[in-house]
Amino acid sequence: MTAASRAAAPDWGRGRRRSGGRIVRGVVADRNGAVGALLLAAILALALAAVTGLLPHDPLGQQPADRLTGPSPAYWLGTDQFGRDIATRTFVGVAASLRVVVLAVAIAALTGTLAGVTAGFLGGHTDAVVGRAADVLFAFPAILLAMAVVTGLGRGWVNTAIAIAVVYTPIFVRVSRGPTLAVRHAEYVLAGRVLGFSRRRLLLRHVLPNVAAPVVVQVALSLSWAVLTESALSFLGLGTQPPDPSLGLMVADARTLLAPAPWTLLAPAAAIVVVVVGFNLLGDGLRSALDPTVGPR
Amino acid sequence: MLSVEHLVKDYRAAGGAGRVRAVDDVSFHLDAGSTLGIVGESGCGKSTTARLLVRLEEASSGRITLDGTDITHLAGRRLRSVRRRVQLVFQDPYASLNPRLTVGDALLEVLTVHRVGTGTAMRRSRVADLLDMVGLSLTLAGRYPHEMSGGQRQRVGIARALAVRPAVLVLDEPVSALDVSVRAEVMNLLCRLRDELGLTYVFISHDLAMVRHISDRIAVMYLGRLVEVGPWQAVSDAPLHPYTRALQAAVPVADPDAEAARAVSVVIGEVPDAAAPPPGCRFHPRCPIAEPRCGEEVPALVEQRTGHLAACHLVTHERRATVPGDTLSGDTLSGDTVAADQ
Amino acid sequence: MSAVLEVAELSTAILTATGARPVVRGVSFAVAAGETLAIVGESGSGKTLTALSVMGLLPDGARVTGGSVRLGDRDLLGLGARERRAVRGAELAMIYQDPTTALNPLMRVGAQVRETLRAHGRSAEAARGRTLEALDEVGLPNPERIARAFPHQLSGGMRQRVVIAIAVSTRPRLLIADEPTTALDVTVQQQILALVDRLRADHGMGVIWITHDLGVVARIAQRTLVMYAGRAVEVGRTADLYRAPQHPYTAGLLGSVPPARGTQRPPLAQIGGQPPDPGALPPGCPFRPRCPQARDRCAATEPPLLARPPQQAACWVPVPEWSRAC
Repeated sequence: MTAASRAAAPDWGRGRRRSGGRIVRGVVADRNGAVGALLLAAILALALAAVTGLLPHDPLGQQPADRLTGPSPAYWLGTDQFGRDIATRTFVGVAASLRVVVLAVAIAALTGTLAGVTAGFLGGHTDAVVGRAADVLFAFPAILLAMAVVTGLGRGWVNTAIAIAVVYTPIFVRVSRGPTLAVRHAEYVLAGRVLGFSRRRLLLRHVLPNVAAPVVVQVALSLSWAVLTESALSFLGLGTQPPDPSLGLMVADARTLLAPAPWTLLAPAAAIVVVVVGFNLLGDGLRSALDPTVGPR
Repeated sequence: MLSVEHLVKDYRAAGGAGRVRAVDDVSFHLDAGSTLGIVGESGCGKSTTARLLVRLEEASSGRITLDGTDITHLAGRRLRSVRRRVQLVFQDPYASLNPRLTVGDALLEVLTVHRVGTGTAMRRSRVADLLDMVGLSLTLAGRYPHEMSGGQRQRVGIARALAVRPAVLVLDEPVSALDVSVRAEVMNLLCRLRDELGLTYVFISHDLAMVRHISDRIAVMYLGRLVEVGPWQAVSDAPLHPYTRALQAAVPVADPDAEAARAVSVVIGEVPDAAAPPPGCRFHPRCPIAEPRCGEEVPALVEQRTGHLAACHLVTHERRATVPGDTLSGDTLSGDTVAADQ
Repeated sequence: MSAVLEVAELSTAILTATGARPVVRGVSFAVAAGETLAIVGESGSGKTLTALSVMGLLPDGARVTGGSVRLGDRDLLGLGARERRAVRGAELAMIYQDPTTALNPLMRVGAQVRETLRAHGRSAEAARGRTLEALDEVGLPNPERIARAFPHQLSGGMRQRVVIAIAVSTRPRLLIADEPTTALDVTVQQQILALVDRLRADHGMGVIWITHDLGVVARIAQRTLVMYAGRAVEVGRTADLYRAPQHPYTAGLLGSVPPARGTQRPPLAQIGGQPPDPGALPPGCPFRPRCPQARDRCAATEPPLLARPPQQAACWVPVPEWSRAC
């Protein structure tokens, strides 16, 4: 026994772990990540306020007297053709979009990553089947595939989410399978085998954490694209149904009102841009925050 | 202690058809506390042998025995107990450490899996012991691999292998990826650990000088086969097999006077493709003293002197005929053709 | 013998967000016609960046910050990009560590040799003839067939020969070899060493051989320059430098190599510690923190290359004053 070991059991600093706090700090330290997080936080706060009724107007309340009024102190972003407050509807629409999108990406990320990591780790026939299935899904144009699924399942926000999830699952298969293949043959996984680690331990502790970074980044990017997909589905009448507010529907309605009331398009379009750009920048920030070779700054 | 008999490893050739024999009929024996050096060039099967010994690869045929127990095909719990006795140190310490685990956590994990000690406190102090054993400060326990130098990482790789208190350490090119001055440190560490812990080493390298420095016995491999095995000084300084001689002549020595005095002797060609090895003695197309029968008959690994084996028809013949003197000395080996073999 | 290349006070820095990191700090040396100079050092010593500075092929972010590189009567650092290109390949050539990545996988070998020759003004016909000559010169059998082959059809050693053929096809005055044998088997390394040595002797070509392998140096280099922390710490004839190193770092390096002969195998000499970060060099001699011979004066000023006959070394403490503690 050495002097060092006779001292109380040494601790090597839990603070140095890549905990949630460190990741958040890493994202904020990245300029893109900070801007993305800020944009998302702002619009999320407004959306929350809107759904909890903290905003002065009812998203469905029609005020025929105030139809198509421009922005004013009473209606910050104006009203639509039924005299409903556009600001409230936009933020409720953001909330509705996010609800669909978050569920969709959660399903896609879980099933896709599970399939991708399993395929990559096991290889052989499993890998061939999963890979072929993902290729087939990839072969369809995204919107067409989502439309087909919604048509099959029927309408409703959960079904919309499932439709989007189907479109995004192969992306997660691809993003997780490649790194798993690489990590599976990494020497530290071989070293684990020589040290007698179980497959479960190797998969959960050595493969997954090293595959997690691209998946997490992909989650942020997918959220961003899925907002567009959801808006497109609603625009086409396959997503959220009227009179519930939705960004896609609002854009669809605003189409015909562009000349007399341009503000009806401005608010939902800006909201889409903010959410999409926000998630994209957050993805960038996560990418640098999750790189283990970039030390704490 | 560790015994290998007629070990063979076949791989399916890239492209599907045919098989590549990476390790062909390799046999050797190791006494407890001794070091066997395995030296050879690319494609000689030395790394595959390492992987077979630690059961990362399944042998196609042959037997590996550890203390009298056949471990060639063990599985499950019994394989795990073998894992505690035979450990591997990799060439590239950066690739063999999980980038997301601190050094302390990586060592702690091994102790936890093998239930070494009871409780975290005891295991943590064992981690401190391990780091101390390989000459690392405890303050490094909180570091990630990318925050350390190459030499420090390789020490961690050694500490991790030692965590399960193995009897045998298979070292696969443990210093090849390191800087010159760091190699010396790691070599000294390995020698010290062997003496202190009574370890048995299989030291695998392409570097004859390193193998010579640490080994008790040296085995020379060429294209999957053992061509010479014997005491370190005999094999490195007075080799019998023409390939070992060529290897020894090719290794540049850090002594300008010795280099200037060295006769220009250049072995021709390169190691052939392992998928289509030459018939007979696999070295015969490059061998300066080959005879027709070398291309037909595979020479057996025969004891030429006490404890010194070589697989060469001509060496065996010479011994039988008891021709006096060493007719195979340097000058007969010289061939100044530089042409690559077609 | 006349010097082909004269490098004086060459300094190179890598420019980073946090400032310039000096990686080559005032290095001077000369290479004579028909001479091989080995530049020895460990990773991070600046040996490769010294060579790339001479070639004018520094990676992005690195820049020569001072000194001169004279090839014949011209200072290469004063030339424009176009003139520099004309010199490179024609008068200065380089071979690399990995022959696989140095060749274009989609081009036949012959076309790659011809390309260099054409770029330096040979007619198509002359280039064709010279290509076969060059392939023959580097010991490749059946040059016509090799010229039609793609790089992946050749073995590692043959690929390195092709790279050498490209380099010497224009009969350069100086060849810079950046560890061209580290990726090769030792029996093939021996052939490549012999080949370059023959080309040097036959054509009076100067050679700079960059390596960390002290055995390779002993085999091929007439003179040796040892680099540490971006500085030349010792220069001299290889035989003198190995027999009686005048810098503790050189002595440490030589002591860390296992002897090739003898019945005794004592522990190897260790230098201990790590090379300094080029961005945060210690005051005084950069080797001082690791040096077994360090004295108080070593902390004050960084020693320049001092005469230590028959070679030169950047050390304040002459060998007779060294302690024999280790």
